Amino acid sequence: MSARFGSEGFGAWVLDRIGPTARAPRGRGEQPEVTVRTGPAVPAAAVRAVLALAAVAAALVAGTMPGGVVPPGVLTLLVVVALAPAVVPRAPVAALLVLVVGVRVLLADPASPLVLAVLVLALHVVLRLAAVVARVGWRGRIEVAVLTDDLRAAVAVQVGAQALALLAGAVLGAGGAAGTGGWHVVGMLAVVGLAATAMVRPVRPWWRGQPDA
Amino acid sequence: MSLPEPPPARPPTWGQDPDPSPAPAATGRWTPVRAATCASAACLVVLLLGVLAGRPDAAVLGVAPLLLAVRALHGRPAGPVRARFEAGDVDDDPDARGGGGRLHATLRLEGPGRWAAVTTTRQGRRGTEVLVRLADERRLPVVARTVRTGPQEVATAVVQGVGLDGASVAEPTPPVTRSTVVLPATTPLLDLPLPSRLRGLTGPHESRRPGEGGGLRDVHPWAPGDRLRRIDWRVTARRSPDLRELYVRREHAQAEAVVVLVVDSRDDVGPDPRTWRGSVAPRPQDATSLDRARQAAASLARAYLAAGDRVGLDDLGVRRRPVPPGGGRRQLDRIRHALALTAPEGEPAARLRPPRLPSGALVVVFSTFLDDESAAVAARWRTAGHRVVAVDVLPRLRASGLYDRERLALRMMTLTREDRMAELADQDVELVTWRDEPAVALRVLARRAQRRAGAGVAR
Repeated sequence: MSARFGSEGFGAWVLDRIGPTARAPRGRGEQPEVTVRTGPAVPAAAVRAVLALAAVAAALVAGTMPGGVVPPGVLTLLVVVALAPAVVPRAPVAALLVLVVGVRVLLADPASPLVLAVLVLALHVVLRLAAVVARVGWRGRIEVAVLTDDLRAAVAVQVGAQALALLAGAVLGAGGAAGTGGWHVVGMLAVVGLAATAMVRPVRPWWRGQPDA
Repeated sequence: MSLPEPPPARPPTWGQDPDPSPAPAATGRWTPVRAATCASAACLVVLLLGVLAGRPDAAVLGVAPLLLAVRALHGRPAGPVRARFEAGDVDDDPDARGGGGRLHATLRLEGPGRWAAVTTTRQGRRGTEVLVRLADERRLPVVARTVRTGPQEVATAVVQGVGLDGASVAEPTPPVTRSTVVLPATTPLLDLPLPSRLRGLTGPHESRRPGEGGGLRDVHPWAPGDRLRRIDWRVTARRSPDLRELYVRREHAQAEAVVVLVVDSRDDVGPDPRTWRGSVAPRPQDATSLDRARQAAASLARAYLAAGDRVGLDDLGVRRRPVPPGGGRRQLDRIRHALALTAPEGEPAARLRPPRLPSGALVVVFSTFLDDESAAVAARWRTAGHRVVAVDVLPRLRASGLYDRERLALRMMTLTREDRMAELADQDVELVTWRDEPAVALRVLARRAQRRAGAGVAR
């Protein structure tokens, strides 16, 4: 080893190749060299922790729903998928969590209103926080104004979604999974409407930038 | 075997930053965020599956984020995000009261996004990363902590605009940098050494020449040219009662000292030898040799000028017009500004002869004495008759964390340097180390020269 990596050993050999900055990292508790003064802010790590909690809660609630026992291995995999958005928020792992939870709800028995409310809220929180923490690293800070930005619209939409969840629970309780043709039509109309709204060409295409820029 | 790191291809540039550009802007292109787009697609898929499977409980799972995603898609901003630095306001920093070592700037953001991700670096090291609310315009105070002086980078910032709900991002702006020049601080000093010869007929010091204003030099028979008011009638009455001869009291003349401060700007090394290659900047809390040289030179200049002497400044590393000796408050400002702008500039040219100095000037050389040139120049000045004080500004070195080969190299360098400084002492160059109590060391030098009236070096 000494002949190959020199008298200082493998560690020095690696550090020499990483670069000199790797040998003089910032000490723990040492203030950063540059600070940007903002409004009230929270550490990004704390927001990631909240994101992880919400995601794990959604995965556990979905995994423990009645109707088909989920093996412990699969449940562990669910928790791992739930932790992924907090670790790598820039990767599309939050979408994977939504799909996994959705499929699990489809495969399970009809959810109770409370479980459904928790899932609707948790998935919304996960997607919103994942979009926030994706823009800043672990050591960064997030202004509280960012977290509360457009909160009124988010709360309004969430209240509407909770009302829809209650309605869905009522529909399922009244007619079961079969024979609900009425809401089928409404659901398909919603899918088509949302898809068409998303695909309609905007008045000012974003890919062309500002006309006078 | 581990190979030594190759030498840097060009001189270190971390201390020399160009002036901030006016306001570089990105192209204004906004792109959807892949993760957010995939999440919206997943919500749509779950909605579709729920509808097809006749499970409204599954269908409503992703309705709320899906609605907001569609809204964010249509509210996507357009246009570039601009970032630029402006002069900082100290009043924005509540911790700045009574504390130095802080550089201030204000980062001004303009753009159509809802949020802005700001990433700051300084001298290649990671700074702070924040996500802030933008709302068309935002001014963010930026504070850098450092004990360094001279040309300093406050911060470099890269800003990325973020659209509604983080669904779209703008192209990151080009890096914007703010630089400033930090004047060296001064420390109070006690007595200071004086040159071997004082100049002029006025000044704060007593010279050995006859004149007026100083202490008693001698009592001498009156000669043509002596003023009548100088006649000492008591001595005359005692020595020549019949008044055949008059005796006058002669005084020493007042004079001023000429001091030339010579800074060796070729080296700018910190306490960590691993930073001496120049590829990594010293830590901001480590004063480098040039910082110490600036502080030492500014302190001496302030003390000499306060005493009424004339002080000049020259640079061993760069050939440019020196600051000629002068006096007064404005001379101190000139010297401090010149010291702040003193920095290593590429490969210094070899000098054939030392810079010319006023005759009889006290020369104070501030150097690390890591090579022979500064020591040789100091020795030649001493040979020419100047009183020379060599101030060692090399900081106390940190050997922890060094590899064996680096420790060996440091040991060899230290031994060579000690030999060089011992040789300087043999050549009657006085040595002062600017570390613990430089004021005491300078006082010792000053008292060594006060054995005879009229100042000067004891020979």
